[in-house]
Amino acid sequence: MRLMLVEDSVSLADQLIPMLREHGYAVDWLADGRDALVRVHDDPFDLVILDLGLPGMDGLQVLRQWRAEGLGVPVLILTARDSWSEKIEGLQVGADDYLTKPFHPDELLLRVQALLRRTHGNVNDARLRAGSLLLDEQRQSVWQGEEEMTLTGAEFRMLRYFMHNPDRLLSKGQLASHLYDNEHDRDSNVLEVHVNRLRRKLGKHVIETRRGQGYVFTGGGE
Amino acid sequence: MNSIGRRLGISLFVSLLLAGLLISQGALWWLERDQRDALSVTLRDDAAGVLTAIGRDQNNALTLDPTRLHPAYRRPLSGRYFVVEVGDSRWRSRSLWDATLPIPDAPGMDETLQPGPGSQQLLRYRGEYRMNDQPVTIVVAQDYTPVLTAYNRTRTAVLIAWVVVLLALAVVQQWLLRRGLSPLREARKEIEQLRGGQRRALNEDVAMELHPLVVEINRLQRHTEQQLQRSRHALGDLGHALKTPLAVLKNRCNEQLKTTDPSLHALLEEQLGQMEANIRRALGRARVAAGVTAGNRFRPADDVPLLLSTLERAHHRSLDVVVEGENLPAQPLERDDMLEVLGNLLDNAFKWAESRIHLSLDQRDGQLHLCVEDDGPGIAPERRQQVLQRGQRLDERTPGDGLGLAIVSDTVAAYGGELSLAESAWGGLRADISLPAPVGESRRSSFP
Repeated sequence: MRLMLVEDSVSLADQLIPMLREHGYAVDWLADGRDALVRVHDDPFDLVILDLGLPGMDGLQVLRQWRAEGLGVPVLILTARDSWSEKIEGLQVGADDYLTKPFHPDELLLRVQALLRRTHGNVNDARLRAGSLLLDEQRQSVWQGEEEMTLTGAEFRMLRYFMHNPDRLLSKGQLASHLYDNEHDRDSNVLEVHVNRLRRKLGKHVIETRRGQGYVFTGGGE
Repeated sequence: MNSIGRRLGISLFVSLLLAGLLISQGALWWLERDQRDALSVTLRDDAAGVLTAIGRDQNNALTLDPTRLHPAYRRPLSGRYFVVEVGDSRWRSRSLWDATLPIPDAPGMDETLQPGPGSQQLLRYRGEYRMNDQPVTIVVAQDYTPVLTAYNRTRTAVLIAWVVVLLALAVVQQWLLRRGLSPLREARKEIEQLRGGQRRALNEDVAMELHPLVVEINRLQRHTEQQLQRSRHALGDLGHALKTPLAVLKNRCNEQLKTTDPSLHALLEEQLGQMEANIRRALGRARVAAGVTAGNRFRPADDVPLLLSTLERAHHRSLDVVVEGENLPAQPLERDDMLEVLGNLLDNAFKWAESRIHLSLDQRDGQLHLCVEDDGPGIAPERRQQVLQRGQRLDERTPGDGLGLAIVSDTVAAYGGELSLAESAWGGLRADISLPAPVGESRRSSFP
């Protein structure tokens, strides 16, 4: 899952980025509202964490413009503005969730997870479910029936993206752009390695290969 | 209440009444004088007529020949009389019958009216002549009552006519006043709408006399709104400037100190929590715009559904939310403040409710009543007061509950309203709020 963090406080970003990466998200960080306005089109972000008091352009204005352009990426507003009229305005402009500062980092993670799950059609479930698999994002492990299997960071990242997009054809380029931010080296061989590792753990039919096209996550059936 | 319309009406009515009476009385008096002058000419002629009836008898003494007199002098109480005085002898007209006609002191017209026979009022003329070297005094009199009654009748008629005309005038004048003062009434209506939140500014296309007033009110209104916005922005910036570092400190504290130095972590956590609560409460208090006629009014019909959809998005809980009375008209209360009150109360309810929430809005006795109930755990009676006063947290795991209630309490207090906490019908928390309408709104002034 690839996130865009738009936050002008360097120290806060310094804390959030490692934490988000630790939880398997690819993070691109921007500090200026005008940059964010353009940058969002360059990569396929799965979610944007947006501060409102930004230099260059106010976060609300940025969001308004995105929505006017028809951009549907889920947006979580992270701001110090905590009055209800501001919350309502933020959500009216098109934000999907609203978290006020100061916040507990776990709260942010939970909100991000919930928001991603909601945008992919899963509601009100503590764990992510697809096919016969249950993904525990807290423990970064996967349940198949009664059996819990641990995952490496890279496997977890990939499996989560697959499980958010079941039964859809995903090209290697698509996978890479959602799993890695610009600081990572994108090597398609690495992707193949991780896909094979997941197949070894979960069974061959969980991920099917379409030659020349990419992969389809089937979940291995019921 | 002092009304320009009524004051103008009364003063105009009184002045017209006085002026009308003066003019009509003056005119009548003038006409009467003319009438008397005309009569004096007739009387002089009458005297001359009587004189011609005086002749000499065989003894060369003066005598009156009745056949040469006007027949009216012979008919009793005819209204025309004479007395002739020659030497010692005095002749009276037969018409006088048994009455006497006193001779005026001076010759010529007598100004005063003399009571005559049969309650007649007589106008007298005394002429002095000489005949046969003898002084002859002739007094002729004419009944003036018909003229007087005619004038009295006219006076009454004029008076009645004038009062009728005045009443008609008063009606016309009130209508004109209403028309003339209609810009004022229009402005007053607009000011009411402004206070009621139905409009943001007064219409500046008004009468010249009102224009400066309206422009000034609009300027003040804009100024107030801008001031409010500026201070809220400044507060927002201050909040941002304080809360982001606070977030950094809290996160760092959680990340690193929790394992290495738990006691320091606990201390910092507590102190930072207090700082956060104080900042939020102070900012919340400073944001309250009670008493300001801001253009941004609380419209339950629009704002409540908006707030509920926001809360539902924020909490993602399938709760049974029942709302009553959200179709109230715009309230003369500032929107952001009301959203803060309802937002915090409902936020608590969403956080704690098991399955249902009840929100009711009601307008009675000039007050807005809000009531939020849930079926959550509620607050123990002995802790309720504490919560409102200090903004304490009740549960560390769900941050900011007590704080939200304290902010609600501050806002309600700023509006002069009341907040009370009780147990709901389902055993959860029930928060009742009553907010009085701002002063000036409930006191309707009378105006034509």
